Amino acid sequence: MAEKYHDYDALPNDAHAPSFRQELRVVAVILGFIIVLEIIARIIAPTLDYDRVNIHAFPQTIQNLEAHAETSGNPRVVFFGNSLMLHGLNEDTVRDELKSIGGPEIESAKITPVGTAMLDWVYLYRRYFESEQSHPDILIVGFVAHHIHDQEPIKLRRLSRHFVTTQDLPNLWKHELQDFHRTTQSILCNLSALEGDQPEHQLGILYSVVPDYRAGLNRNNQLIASAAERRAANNTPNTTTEPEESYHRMDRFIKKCKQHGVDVWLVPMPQPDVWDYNPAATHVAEKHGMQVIDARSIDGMTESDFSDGYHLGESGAEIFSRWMAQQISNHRPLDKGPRPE
Amino acid sequence: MLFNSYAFWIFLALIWAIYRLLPHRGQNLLLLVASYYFYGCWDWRFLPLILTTTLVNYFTAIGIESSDSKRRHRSLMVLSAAVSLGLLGFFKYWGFFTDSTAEMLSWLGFHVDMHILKIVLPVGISFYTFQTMSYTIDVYRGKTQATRKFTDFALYVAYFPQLVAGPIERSSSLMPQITHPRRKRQGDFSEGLNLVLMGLFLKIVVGDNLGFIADGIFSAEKGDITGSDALIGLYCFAFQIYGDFAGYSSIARGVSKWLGIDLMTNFRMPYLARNPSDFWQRWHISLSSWLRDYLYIPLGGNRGSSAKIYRNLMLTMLLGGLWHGAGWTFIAWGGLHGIILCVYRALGENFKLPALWGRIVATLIFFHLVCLTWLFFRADSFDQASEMLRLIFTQQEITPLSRYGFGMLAFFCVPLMAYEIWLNQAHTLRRLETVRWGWRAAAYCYIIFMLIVFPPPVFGQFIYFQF
Repeated sequence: MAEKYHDYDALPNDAHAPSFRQELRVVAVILGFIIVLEIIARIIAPTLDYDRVNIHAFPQTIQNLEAHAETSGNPRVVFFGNSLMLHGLNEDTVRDELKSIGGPEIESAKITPVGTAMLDWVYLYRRYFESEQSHPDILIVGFVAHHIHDQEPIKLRRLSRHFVTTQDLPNLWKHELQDFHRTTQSILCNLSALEGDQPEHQLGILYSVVPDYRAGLNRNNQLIASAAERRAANNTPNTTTEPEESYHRMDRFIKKCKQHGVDVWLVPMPQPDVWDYNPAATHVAEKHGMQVIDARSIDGMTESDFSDGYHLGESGAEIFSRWMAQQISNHRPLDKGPRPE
Repeated sequence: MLFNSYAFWIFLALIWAIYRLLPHRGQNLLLLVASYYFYGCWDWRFLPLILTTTLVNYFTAIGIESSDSKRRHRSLMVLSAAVSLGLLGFFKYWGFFTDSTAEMLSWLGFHVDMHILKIVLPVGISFYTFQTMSYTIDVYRGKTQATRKFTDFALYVAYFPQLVAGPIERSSSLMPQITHPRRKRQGDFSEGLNLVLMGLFLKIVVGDNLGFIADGIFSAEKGDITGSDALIGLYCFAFQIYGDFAGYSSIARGVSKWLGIDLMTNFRMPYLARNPSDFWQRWHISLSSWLRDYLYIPLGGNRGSSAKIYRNLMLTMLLGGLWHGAGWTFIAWGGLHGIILCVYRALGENFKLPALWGRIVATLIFFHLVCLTWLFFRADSFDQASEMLRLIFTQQEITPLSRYGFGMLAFFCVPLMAYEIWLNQAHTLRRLETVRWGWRAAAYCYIIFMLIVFPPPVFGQFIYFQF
């Protein structure tokens, strides 16, 4: 039977509850512990994973680009996007191809944090190219359909930590975060590596201690996603149309680039199957006088050029990079004119 | 405004800062305004509802106390119960009863087009209804005095730390703490800190992380999971509901400690229970003791023939199941617990297991019995519950999902259970307060680390708000 005669809420007879002052020592240790954790998080942040290595290299990458462009006087081309552009474009191949076809010489850089979308790029651009003197002449943005519309969900922690500057947080709140909880979270993530890089810390630990962590998590996510789809189908039995896509983030992104006189090329990236490109996105680009350079179907590219059915493999990157050099050569809007005031 | 949201802690800090500066009356008024604001944050349209319950019970209690007529006492008591249970019945059970009636008529061959209202369930209605009813019943029984001060009674009903998910307080315990000035007590801060941190750990780290796995497995279609997946899903749900509900109660108690008000303990290491009687003295204690005092004992309790006792047990547990949710699966859950209690009452004394190993075996067996009942509690339908049960007993096949689920269970629950066994050995929930402060600091650092690094993939609501 249960020990029903014990008063579980009472302290043992010979024990005294710690006083407020005594307990402040415990609170002080907790605060100290959090500070130590934060310091450790900041130390390991640049090497946390492949993506963080990439992200932490951006300032140096951009500095190098500026320095080379300053010396050579060549136009600055920045390849922007996510893992599609990261794995799909080889800068050396682009330069070699430009040389071989007599195209213009360029200075290039890749700003391609994985798993990002238009919302991240809006803030990423503002973070690294806000100054009048430091922005590219051409910004080539690679994407597939869901990366550019406003319905793509926000990855708040990384966005707040790595892409949004502290000064830009109010813009993030104004445009994307209406609720207090997420607004507060964005501040914490912006200020703290412990908070901002939390998913990677969690993944690193669970991946090493929980068997089949990734496979099991993916399976669980699949089950939840299928259930959500079934629920959505049951709730709207007579409608078959997708929710309407909007492009306000893209509009803001292009406007900002345009302010700096940057030429934005939007490049729908190749996939094993040609995917539907929403004409509304083209309309947004053309409204601002920017161009869409369609790479969804490139001659000579086959399914075997993709490493995992989504990203371009080595052979695919070779084909895409040469194709991209051709486009740069063909379009040639690369004479550095005076920057708009 | 959830306990696991930033907004709540800012709200609490503001309230606490002002609270310390005010005299007793001012403190009560502040808590009342804060409680209504807190409730209004969920949905301000439900404020008139809680006000109605408050007014009805306030005046009926005074009416009962002011009169010498037993008949008037009874009629006022009936009026109060009818209003309280009527509101609860309408908002919580109307849809269930009309649905069930329509289904039954259809099964009998009558095709009736019943107009079924979709009614939003006011958050916390089950909790504050039972709390106000206990007050009026206690006044009716002469066990407590009716309070004349309306704001005190309104605060008793709406006190924000326990308003939306309990513990369901009794007037004999809470009311004096409201009506009398509160004194500073040594230990309130440390106990509050312990309760709040433990509650956040239970809710955010254990409940929400394992709830994510349980949600996936319980949302699988037929044929998508194996028996081992189903079993892991069930274990995960067992710890989800414990973490979620015990976590809420613990935070509520901790926050209240910081305001100088004691709330009753609602959970005491329930998965260390060795039999059903033990379990109900550890799980949702405020509800089980309410059902004992206001339903089981008035029905006759342990008095009378065995058949009557079993009837009383079954009725109490069936109604306890219905309290949790308007659905047949909840009633089945209550019924199963009723059967377990009856069987234990009939046979339990003959199955005394010796010494330590006997206690461990009894605990493990009873934990699995409780998990079996959780299957009906969590399943969307009897079909799903029976299908998962079939899988568990006939199709055990280890998959990456079950290995992952088991790993997550071990990662989050082994430290928790080790801590609870340590508490249980000392028969106190406050053992951590008695160790050297450095050990306590180390334990809290572990909790803080887990809270920061292992928040759930999805921001979690509290399950018991829907009850």
